[in-house]
Amino acid sequence: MATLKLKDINKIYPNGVQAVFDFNLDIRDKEFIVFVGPSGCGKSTTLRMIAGLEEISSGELYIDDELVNDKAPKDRNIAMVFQSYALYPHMTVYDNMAFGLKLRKMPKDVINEKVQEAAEILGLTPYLKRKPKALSGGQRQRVALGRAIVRNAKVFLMDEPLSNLDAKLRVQMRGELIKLHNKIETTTIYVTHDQIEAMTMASRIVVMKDGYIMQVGAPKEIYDNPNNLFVAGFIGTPPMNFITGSVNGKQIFTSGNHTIKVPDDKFEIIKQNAMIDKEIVLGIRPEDIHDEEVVMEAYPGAVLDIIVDVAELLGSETNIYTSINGHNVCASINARSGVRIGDKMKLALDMNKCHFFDPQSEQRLVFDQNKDVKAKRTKKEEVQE
Amino acid sequence: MRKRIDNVYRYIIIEGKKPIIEQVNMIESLFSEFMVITSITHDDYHVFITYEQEIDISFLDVILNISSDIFNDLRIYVSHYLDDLDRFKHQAYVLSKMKDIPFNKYVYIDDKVLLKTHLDVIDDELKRFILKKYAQDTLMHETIKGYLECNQNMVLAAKKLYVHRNTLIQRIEKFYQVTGFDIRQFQDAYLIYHFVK
Repeated sequence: MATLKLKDINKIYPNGVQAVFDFNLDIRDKEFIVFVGPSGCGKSTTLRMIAGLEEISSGELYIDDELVNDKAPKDRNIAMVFQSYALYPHMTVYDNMAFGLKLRKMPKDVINEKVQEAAEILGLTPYLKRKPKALSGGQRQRVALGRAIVRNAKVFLMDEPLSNLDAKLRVQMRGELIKLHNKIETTTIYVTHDQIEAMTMASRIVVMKDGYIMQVGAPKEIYDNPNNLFVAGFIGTPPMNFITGSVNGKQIFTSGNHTIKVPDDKFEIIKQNAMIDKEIVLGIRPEDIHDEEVVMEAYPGAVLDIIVDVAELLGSETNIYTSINGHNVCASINARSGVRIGDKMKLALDMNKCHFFDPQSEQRLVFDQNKDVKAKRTKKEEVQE
Repeated sequence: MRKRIDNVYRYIIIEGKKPIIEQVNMIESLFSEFMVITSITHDDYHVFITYEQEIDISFLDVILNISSDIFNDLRIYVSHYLDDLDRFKHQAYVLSKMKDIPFNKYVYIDDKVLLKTHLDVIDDELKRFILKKYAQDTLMHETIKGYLECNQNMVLAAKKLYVHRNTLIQRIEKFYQVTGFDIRQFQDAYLIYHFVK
């Protein structure tokens, strides 16, 4: 178990391409950190720098307060699980798990003890004499994890370890990995481009784009309060809806022919950020758009008349797609509604759950408490004068 | 499994992104567990292993595991069957071509990968490397060209080439055994067409 500190880490390749920019992150003991982002965002490169497979161009990497920039990968006490859940095909499960320890010239009895222990944790004891081809996909993946566990590494680094599995097995292995982490509590850094994996597994998520950290936070925090348009659009399935428009002084958001009343607290945020009558992006998640009467009564000013372009019945819910002033908008509504393509219907936006973004900076507009106190103080001073 | 031609060997090159000289013994003992090694040589970054028999083991799996065990990025080149070619010349050529392939792009490299990444410059050397003894065989070139230009239609191609269908099948099979490219498969056909068009 270990803590990690990444301080101003940069990666510049010899051809001048910079893959990671000023990466700063403190990873706590026993944390399950997930790096998530689209292909080429620098997440694997960062992981490989931690492993020592890539050199750090500048910055400092500490494992348990020890600077490890110049330490050889084998001396960093880390274990890596690669993208492929490949095993030595000619070796038994036992030998596969023991091989790394044999390389380190550990005594046979210690190796046996560690392999038996890891096999017990992973439920692989009955399969120790089998060869990989006699195992199911999930069992093979567990052996691959076992190869990491036996090393008693301080940190586990996993580079998309589930990407080669089929959808059903991936869901099963997600659960197993979480259970395993809870059991052995080793600090884990997990790289994926799959935001569902990130949401379901992480203690904290690091969202990356083009080599920069976009946001770090607990899954719920990132989902509920995305820092910017990228995070808002990347995390969540279906993704958050974005509608461009403007908000006037009467608290009305207008986008084409559609008008929506903005609640007081959201209006305060817009006002404080001087975005009134300026172009603004309204973001709302599909599950915060409703077709129930009760919501329409609660938000009478946020009801839109729409025509259903596409209706996808998913079982428990239906995703309906429509167009609002040229923006594709998705709403996840109850499947009992029985909506069909071409239907005209009303949808209410839960405006307390919406966000507003500055289209220029792409940042979410937030209420700055300090700014407010300052403004009130100035006002008070003006009155006193 | 297809019948292979006799009196030939294959070789592999294991290349490390960082030096692998310290791991040569480990690699040798590991590979000798599942293959009869005819010869093994190395330099700081490469291990060259020659072997003769068919291997029913995924080299990719083995190499990925060694990578995670020794914390070094590795990749492997696996040659097709070789007979009368000078092995060292062949090896040197492969190494020169591997240099042009970014290290992490392919972990497993064979002649198909080499060709895919060098298709823009087809010179005599590449021709000899890929087509082997058929590099100058105009009859084989015309057969392949005719077959591919008939959209891989065996009956039509045989008619156009004035040969029996079985003769055509035999030639295509022979070409596959020697070069490793099966022109009945679209991807291989696409790659080989550049040499005969």
